[in-house]
This record gives sequence, structure tokens and C-alpha cells, in this order.
Amino acid sequence: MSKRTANALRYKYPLPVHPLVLPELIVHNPISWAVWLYQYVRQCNALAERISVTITPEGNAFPHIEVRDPTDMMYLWDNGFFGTGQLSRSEPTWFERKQLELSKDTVGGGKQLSLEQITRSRRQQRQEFKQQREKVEAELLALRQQGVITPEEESKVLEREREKLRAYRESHSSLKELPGDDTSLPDDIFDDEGNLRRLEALELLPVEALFLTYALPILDISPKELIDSIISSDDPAALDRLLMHYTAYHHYRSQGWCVRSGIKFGCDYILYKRGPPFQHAEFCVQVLDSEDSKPYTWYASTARVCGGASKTLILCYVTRNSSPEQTRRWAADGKLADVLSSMSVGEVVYRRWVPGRNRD
Amino acid sequence: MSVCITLVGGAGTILAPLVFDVEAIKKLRTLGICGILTGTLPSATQQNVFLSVPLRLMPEEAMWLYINGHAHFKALPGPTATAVERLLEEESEEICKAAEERLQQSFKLQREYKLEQHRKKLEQLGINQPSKEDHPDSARQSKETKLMEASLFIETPTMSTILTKINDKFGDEQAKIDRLLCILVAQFSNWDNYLLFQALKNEGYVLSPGARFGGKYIAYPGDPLRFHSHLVIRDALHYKNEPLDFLELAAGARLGTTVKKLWVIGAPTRESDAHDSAKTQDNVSFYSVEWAGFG
Repeated sequence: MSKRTANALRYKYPLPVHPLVLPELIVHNPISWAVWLYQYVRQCNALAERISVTITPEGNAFPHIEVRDPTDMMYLWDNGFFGTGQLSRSEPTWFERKQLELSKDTVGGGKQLSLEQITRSRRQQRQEFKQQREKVEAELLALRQQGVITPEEESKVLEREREKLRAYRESHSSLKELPGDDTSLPDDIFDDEGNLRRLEALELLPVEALFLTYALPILDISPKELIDSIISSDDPAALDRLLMHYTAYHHYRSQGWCVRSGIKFGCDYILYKRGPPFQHAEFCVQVLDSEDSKPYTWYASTARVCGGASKTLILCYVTRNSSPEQTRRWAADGKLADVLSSMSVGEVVYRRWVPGRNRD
Repeated sequence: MSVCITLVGGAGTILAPLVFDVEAIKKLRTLGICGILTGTLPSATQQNVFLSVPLRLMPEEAMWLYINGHAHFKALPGPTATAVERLLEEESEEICKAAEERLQQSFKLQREYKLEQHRKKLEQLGINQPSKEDHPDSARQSKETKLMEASLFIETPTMSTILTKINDKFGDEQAKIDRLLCILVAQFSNWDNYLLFQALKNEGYVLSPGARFGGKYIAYPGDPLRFHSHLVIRDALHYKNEPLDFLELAAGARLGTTVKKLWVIGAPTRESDAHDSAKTQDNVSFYSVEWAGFG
């Protein structure tokens, strides 16, 4: 099975909502009606048990919202790409990776590299290539300084060295596993029977957790409880910020985008059409209060970072149509629907435009 | 030589400090003050041949020059256009005459130079230049003269005479200059940023505006024509008390690292009197932020 079909099967559902599958209804066969009715009544797509979240430390300004059960972690990742593995790049794969690494001595080579290993080995390769290139340049410079080289000779040498570098790169093009940097494993990652412990948890963003308890109630916590435990009551500004960011998050999720944190690109969210395994994110979203204005250099640098990663910057302005006090009261009473209906969202695309380069 | 910096004032606003004299600009360059020359095309920002005077200085550059005694200020009354109009009304004839004289003088020098060159060339080729008196070959002579006249250049002066006149006429009311200086400082700069500027300048960096890289300044280790810049410096931030937006930190460091620069946060430490520049210049501290594992 190709990687693409495997992914399409694995990430079949864009959200943790699965449609019911009913048997075929044959009009002239009353037995099929019965089966159909039975199935209709019996089937249920709610989770058997709600997903448990742990919030640590309680009452802190920077809480961690964690899901620790391995099945739940995978469920949240597979159905809408929620959360980030604390010891992984995004998908919580630390346990599998570590186990593979540990089994290396017994099973032997010929195994698949994890994404994290691929990144590491690519970086290493690039580094080595750069060192080679630097060496060549230094040699050339030395020759030039001695004055023993004519321009024609120099271009010949340059061509030869370039050829060499190309050959070097090709010979190293296959990715190979690097020796792990943690060869001496600490003992406490194993339990008493010598099995690897599951140390990794899936960490949810506050807005993700709110979405999973308010919009799609699958967490074992109510929206009100969640807000109370992640926002301290003496910081109204933090609550305002959370509600504003949640409005934007909910907006994009309900339009079918896969929304993940954009911290890598210096903005609030990045939008994927389907999800990280399928394609790169196309858009960076910065959530702004419609009352705020930022210094010019802020726009310029954010746009340049996004542009450098070939993404389009979207300035998402959230307008509050009721007083902040009213909004906070609603949030305190757990009436998020009222909060959301009192907000409106408007977007502006910020893009660098050069007349000579943007004609097509 | 003290450099003359022109301040153009309007109703409560001020344009950037300008320098019009090419010699002064050369001197500023040796002091490590580069400013921005006028005339860049938005589509060809690297085309230095289009650049011309005036040189626009950052407010911090102007203040640094003034404080260190390298420059003095002159004020232009109101918008330049009205000042020029007023002057032209009064002295247009004189200005025209002066310009004409300058042109004739330049032609005269060019003619002498060309004749000298011509004579030398003929000598080199071994042809004896027939003196004018001996050879009344006036047709050939006049043709040559015509050719030479056609090849004379009209030189545009690098320094505006009108501006000098305006400067001489109005530009010395000290009260007005002080008022404009106050506006300059209040409108464009803050003292903390100036202290950062001063500290980096004293370390030998050449600074220029940093909006291109999302900062307040960018710092070159020497003349910008010889070096790439190494640092992007953010607006002064009292990092002990003021918060720094984490997203800004991520974006700034990422942008800096992709263009092979350091992203720098600096602030004067408030241990001594912040408004005593002589004391505080050693009390500025900097942090640099880099994005690790990139590329």
C-alpha cells in the first residue's frame, strides 16, 4: 500500500465525528426494515468513554493540558490532528521510536526511519556538505593569495571542485541513521519489569481543549471547568485573549481547516487544507483585536518570516460586539455560544507585492 | 569642519534631518554615519547610480553628531517650496546671473583643457601644430572649434545655490532651531533607543534603519559597502520589567537567523541617571537571540 493511500485511510475523518453506517434498506423486504431500524436505534457514534485530560500545574499562568492515555493520544491525532507530542515533532511517536531504537541490537537493521531521524540526518548532511565547500573555498583563496593561479586555471579548478562536491552530495544522498545522541539511557525510563515507560503525553493548546469540550464534547471536562482551571480569575485580560483566540480557532475549524499552532512562524495559527502528513500549511494566521494597531516593523517582520516559508499571512481581526464585562460574565457562566455570537471575524491578507515579479 | 544639518519644519511636524553638501557627506562617512541618500527607485533599490543628495539622517544619527560636536543645525522656515518661491521673487535675476557665470567659467576651463589635450596628442604623433597666425585656414579651424563646442559638458552642481542662500538668509534663529530639535526628539526617537545607538556606535558599529529586517536598527561591523550587517537590533526594551511577546521573539529570531544575523534585544540598565548620557553609555546591556538547529 502506498504511503498516500495509507494516510488517506488512517486520517479518514477530519474531526473526531464519525458518521453512522446503516445497512442497506430494501423497500420490499420488511426484514431489512427491522434490521435497519434496530441498527438505527442501537448505533451510536459517541465515544464509549470521554477522553481524560490532566491539567498541571493547577492555577498556574502557564498550564499544561495533557492527554496521557496512548489510545486517546492516537485518536486525537488521527481525527483532526489535535495536540502535539511533548517529546516528538508533532505526532506523539516517542514510545514507538524509542522501542525501535532499543530493539535495534536484537532485531537488526532494515527498519524505517522516523521523521525526527530523517530531519537530523538531513541536517548533518547539509552541515558536512557546507564544511566541504568551505574547505574548497579556503584552498582556492590560498592559491589566489599566493598569486600562482591564472583566471583560466582558477575556473578549471573551480569546475573540478564543483564536480567533486556534486559527487560527494550524490554519494551521501541516501539517508542513513545516525547514532543516537543518548547512548546511555537513564534508568528511570524503564519500569520495574524492564519495560519502556510511556513518558510522552499529548499536549493540547488551550483553544484545542476548549474546542474538544465545547464544540465536540469528547473531553471529560466541561467548558466552564476548563476555563476556570486554565485562567486565574484575577487576570481578565488573559480570559479576553483566550476568548478572542478561541473565536478565531473555532471559525477556521468550522470552515473545515486543520488549525495548528504557528509558533514556528511567529504567528498564532497555521492552516492546513487536510493536515500535516498531506501537504505544507498554506496560511499563517495572526489573531488581532480589531481595536489594536501594531508598529510597522511588526507587520514587516511577521510577513517576511511567513513569506520566507512560502506561506500567506492572514491578519484575522476579531471584533467584540458586546462589552468586555458582559463577555467575561458569559464565559464565567459557561455560555460560550453567547460569547461566540457576540464576536465577528474579518480577515485581511498581507502580502509583499513587487510589480515586476507579480505579473503572472 | 562642522557639518551643517538642515531641519525642515512645518506646522508641528518635521521631516528627517537632511545634509545637502557632498563634502559634508564624505566627512560623515568617515565618522561611520551613512544615512540614506535620496532617489532610490522602489523597483531597483540596489541601483546606487540613481542616488543623490540630500542625505537623510536618522534622528539618532543627527543627535549623535550634534552631541559629539561634529555638526550644527540650521532650520528652514516652513515648507521648502514656499521658501524657494520667496527667494526667487526677490533674487531671481541674481541667481540666474550667477548660474550663467558659473556655466561660462566651466566652459572656459573645459576649452582650455581640451585644447591642451589636443596639442599634446598632436605632439605625440609628431605633427607640428601650425600656429594660428601662420595658417589662416579658417574653415578648418572653425570646424574644429564647432566640434569642440559641441562636446562641452554642462555640469550640474552637486550643491544647490538656492538652498545655501536660504540657509544664509533665514537659517540662524537659535530659538527656532531649538524648537525644531525638540520636535525631532519627541516625534521620532526616544532616549533609550538613542542610548542603544550610542553604545553600539562606540563599539565601532555602523548603524542604519532596520525595518527591512524587522528591527529598529541594523548594525554593520564597518562600512556597509564592505560588510554585511551582523545584528538586527530591536527597539529598546527594559527586559527586567517589560514583557516580551513570545511570538515576536520567535519571529524576530527566525528572521534574523534566516538572513544570517543575530537578533538583539538591548536596554539601558537604570542603575544610574538615565538622562546623563556620559554616565549611562557603559550601562547598556544586550542579549542576542538565535534560532538553533536551523537549515
